[in-house]
Amino acid sequence: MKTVPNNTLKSRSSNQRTKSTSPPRTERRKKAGNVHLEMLFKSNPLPMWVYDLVTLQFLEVNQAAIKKYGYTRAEFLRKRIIDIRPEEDIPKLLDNINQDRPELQNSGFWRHKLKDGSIIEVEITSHLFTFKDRQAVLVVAQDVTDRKRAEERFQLVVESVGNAIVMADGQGKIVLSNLQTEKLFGYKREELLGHSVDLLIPERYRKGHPQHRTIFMEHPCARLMGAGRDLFGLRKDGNEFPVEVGLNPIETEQGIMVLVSIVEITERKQAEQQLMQSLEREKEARRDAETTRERLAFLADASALLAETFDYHGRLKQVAEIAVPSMADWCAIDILEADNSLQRVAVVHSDPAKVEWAYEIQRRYPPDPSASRGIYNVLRAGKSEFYPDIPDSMLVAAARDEEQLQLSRSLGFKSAMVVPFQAHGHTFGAITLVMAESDRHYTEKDLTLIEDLARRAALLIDNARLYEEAQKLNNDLEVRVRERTAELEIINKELEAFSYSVSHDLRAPLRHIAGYVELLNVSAPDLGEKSQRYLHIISESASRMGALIDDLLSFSRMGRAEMRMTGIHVNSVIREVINDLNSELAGREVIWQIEDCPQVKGDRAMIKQVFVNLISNALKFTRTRSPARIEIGVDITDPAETTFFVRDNGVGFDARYADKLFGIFQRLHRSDEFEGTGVGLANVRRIVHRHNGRTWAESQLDLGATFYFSIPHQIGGMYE
Amino acid sequence: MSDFKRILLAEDDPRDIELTLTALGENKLANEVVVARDGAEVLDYLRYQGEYQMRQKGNPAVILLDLKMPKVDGLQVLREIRSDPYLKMIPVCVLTSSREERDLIESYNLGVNAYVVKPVGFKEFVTAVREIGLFWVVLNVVPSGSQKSAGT
Repeated sequence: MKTVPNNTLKSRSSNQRTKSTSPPRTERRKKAGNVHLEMLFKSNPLPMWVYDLVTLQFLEVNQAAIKKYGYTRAEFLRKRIIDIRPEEDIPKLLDNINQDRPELQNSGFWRHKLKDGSIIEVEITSHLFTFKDRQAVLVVAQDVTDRKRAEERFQLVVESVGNAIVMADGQGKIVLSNLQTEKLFGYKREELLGHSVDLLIPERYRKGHPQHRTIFMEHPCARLMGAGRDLFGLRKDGNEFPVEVGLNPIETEQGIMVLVSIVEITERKQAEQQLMQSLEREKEARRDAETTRERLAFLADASALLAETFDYHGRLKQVAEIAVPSMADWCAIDILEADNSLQRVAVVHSDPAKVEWAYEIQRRYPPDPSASRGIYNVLRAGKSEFYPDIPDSMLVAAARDEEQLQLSRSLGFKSAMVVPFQAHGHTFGAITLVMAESDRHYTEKDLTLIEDLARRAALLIDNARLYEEAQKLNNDLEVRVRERTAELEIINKELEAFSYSVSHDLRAPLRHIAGYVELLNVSAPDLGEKSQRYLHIISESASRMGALIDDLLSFSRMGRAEMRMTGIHVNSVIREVINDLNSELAGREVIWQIEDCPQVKGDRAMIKQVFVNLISNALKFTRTRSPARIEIGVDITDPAETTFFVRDNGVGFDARYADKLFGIFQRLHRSDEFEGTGVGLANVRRIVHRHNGRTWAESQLDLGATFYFSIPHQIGGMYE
Repeated sequence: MSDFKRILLAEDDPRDIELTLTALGENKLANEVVVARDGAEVLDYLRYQGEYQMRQKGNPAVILLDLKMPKVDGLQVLREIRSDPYLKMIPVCVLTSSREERDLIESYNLGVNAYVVKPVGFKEFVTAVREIGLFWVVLNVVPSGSQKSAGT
């Protein structure tokens, strides 16, 4: 405040650019006013100057400007206003000056260059007026460098926070925003600054917003906005998203501002929601697991019961008992018996009095076989009936009269299912489960469980019935086998008696024939040759008949006789046989070839009989050969059996009839060629079969024959 | 001692009796033969019962026993003889049509002295009967007790 310029400041409001031609009075008054203005100018703590609007030349500066900018007054007055600007700002400045503008304006923030070259931020207020007859501008420059820096720093802080942040003034106008806000809401900064924060909230919240704002402004304190409520932001594209908003009042020179920090919580919301859902799910899963556990326990118990025995009535009753109370308040089981009648196997309720009552109701109102619902329908259709809820209307529909309706209402049935026992396409009955006083309701899961159980029950019933049938068949079979065995025993006895009788009685008449023929020969020595020949034939026939009977009896005995199993030295048996047949060898030339035979297990007498028959056959059918060759050999290549054979060079037989050979009374030769009864080979086969062996033969007519028989090493195991 | 060479023939069939007696006659043994027509008669004879109450004392030298007889069959007769202390030493020869195993076994079990199957051919039959007669009546020796009568 040392040097005050001797200039007068003259308001442009005089409306004319005139020279100071004002009347003296006015002039005086003005003068007095100018003095005040001058004082205001000179001693103003803020830098002030006046510049020529045309030349931009400084016309006057005050002390504060000199001090601030570092130029002397003389230096200032030599400069234009562009000289105190950083070069890059000059175009913008010129542009600004060239605009038409009001007399007084806040022309905003500018950067000025001090004499020392440093740059300061200033807020400029300018005023158009006439100075010393020139169009001039009075400028007040306030150094806002610090404030700007602070603001910048604030902006930086705001930017670096990471949250979307806007600052709004008391009227809700956005005065500051950061990059995150712009990204989050999809606006450019200039689209936000100066606009209402309502821009960022959905339409439906805008109405109440001013009121909230007023209340906040009256009691400004940092707090979460809309605590406990779900808040949403509105993007430029119209999408909403959940947000959490923090409010922070800030006192500024412009009054109280509100710093609003916005956090998008879509993910958090989702995470929260997911957490809630998974907690809910977990709870549900626990509940499910618990009921499942109960169900499985029931199913396991029930299945164990069902698996235990064939007493299925008893078991099903027990199943009904364990179904209450875990699965039902009432449980009934009905079985369709083999005669198609329905039998109630069980009714279970925790109160026995109620069970009695239920039976009473059933007696008074037996289920209607033609009803479209209920047990008979289930049995008919083979499908479950499932009633998660039983409304009164259903009771009304089912009741036959008022009394029954009252009864069924009093039972208080809430939920029910009737599930058939089905297996292999048959329905065996049904299980009925009812929820009443416990006020529980069945779910599809319960139905599935009971259907599973019912399937098992059905299998049990099916099995039990099959078992019963099998038992019955078995018993029948046993009875039949016993009867048949008894019959066979009787037949066997009769057969034995028959053969005994044959043995005794059939031979006697033959003996008599032979005997009396002989007596006749003696008593009638003079009989002619012809008569004697007749007597001879009679006697010979009797003898043949005797031989036939002996062979038959032997054959019969071989079939019946008990076997005495021993180790047999086959070669010694063969020697004995040849020895016994010695009488037939008289006058014959026979070449024997006998291999060493292993020991076999069998009935010695029977095996001997086999060799007797085979060797005597060989001798018989080689009668026309000289020499006769008879080979007795063995084949032990099969580890399971030993095969013997008797080979001869006799007349042989036609191979086509090989199978007939071993049949009883089957002969391939006429009896006038080779005598025989047709029993020998049948006896061989019978004996070998009794040893579980086989017989067969090979031959060509006139080229001899080979008869085989095999004896297995294991004879049925029963002789081991 | 008069009973010494006596043969008791137990046989129900008259033709068999005739043929047997013929065979025995050819061998000079016929006079010593007593014929019983069934098992009961055999036992009556041996025990001096019925029509044999007054018969000559003494046991036969041999009994030729048919098995298949009315009333009491041969095996039963054999059983009674072997269980009777006065009769058990009498030689018994089964002479039968049957070669049934069970008859054979049962007979020997009961202590028969011989078992002969009657051959069909008459010559063979005569031979068999002769040999039986010669053996048991002529060659065989028995304890003196066997000859004593049950009554004395």
